[in-house]
Amino acid sequence: MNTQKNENLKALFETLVGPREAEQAADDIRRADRILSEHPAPGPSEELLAQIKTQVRSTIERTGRSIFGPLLPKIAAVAAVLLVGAVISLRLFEKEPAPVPPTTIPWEVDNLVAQDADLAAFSAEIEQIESDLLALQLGENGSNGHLDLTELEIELMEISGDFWKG
Amino acid sequence: MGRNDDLGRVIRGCQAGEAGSFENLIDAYANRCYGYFYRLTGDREVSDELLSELFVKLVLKIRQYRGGAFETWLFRVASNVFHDWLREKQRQSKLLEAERHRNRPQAAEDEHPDIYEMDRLQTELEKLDTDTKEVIMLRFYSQMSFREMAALRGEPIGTTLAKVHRGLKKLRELMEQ
Repeated sequence: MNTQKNENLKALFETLVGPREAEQAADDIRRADRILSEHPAPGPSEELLAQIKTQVRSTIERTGRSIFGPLLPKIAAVAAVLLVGAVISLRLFEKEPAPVPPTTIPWEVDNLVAQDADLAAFSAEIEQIESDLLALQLGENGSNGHLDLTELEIELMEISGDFWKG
Repeated sequence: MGRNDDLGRVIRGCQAGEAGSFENLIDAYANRCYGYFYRLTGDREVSDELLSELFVKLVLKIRQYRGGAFETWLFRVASNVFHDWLREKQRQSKLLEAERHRNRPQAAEDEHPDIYEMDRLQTELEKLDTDTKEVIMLRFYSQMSFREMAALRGEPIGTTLAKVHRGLKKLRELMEQ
């Protein structure tokens, strides 16, 4: 029997020993291989081979489905089990989602109410002053129109300034 | 079509559970595997048992073969079958030894019932230790390279080289005496 497998024995041994020793070792192996080839071992009997083939057939029949069954159904079965497990886990651990609080901007709400009230008061005051101013301009109240007018304009400016300060 | 294509087809058939493909595998490798077991055990009956066990094991394990050198994989399984037998034999020997102490005397040839039928090579092989004998036979029957053998045995290639060289040199000296 040829056991050489095209191995370069000398090169292999040269990784361990010097070139001369490597050549010697390779030669030792080749000579021993020849001896092994010249002394073949007995082979199995025909009866044994027939018996093994019968045994193999019965092993395939006995275990065939579990060993040689197609892989796809096995993978599909495992995937199905995992999927069912995942769904059950989700159901078990699922909770009612917490109600989402309405998004509010507190400063906007509070100030809007207050500002609405202020705005109404200021608007009424401005309207009153404007009508007074018009009456003065027309000389309807019989007073010193020019002085009163100046006072009113100053008052109007103050009110307007207060309004924008908030 | 090359030998590798044929072997590939046979292996795929085996992996699909086709009995015919297993029969092809048996026809292709039974001789080499039997020789390996016989040279390690020196016993035809034991070799018969181990060969049967090997092929039944192949049926159960063939789907674990994922490519690469099939012979390396096959002889790894064969080597495991041999080591399982060896462990069992050692366990039995201890039991037998204990029994012998109780009921002397016993026939010496019980250890090797096949000893008088052994060929010359087998007789000389028996003088080597089991590990050396195994590494020599693994190389000869599996046709593995030293690198593959070292990987299988989990040792540096230098160790395998030295062991095979020492063993074969010793065997040659014994045969040439």
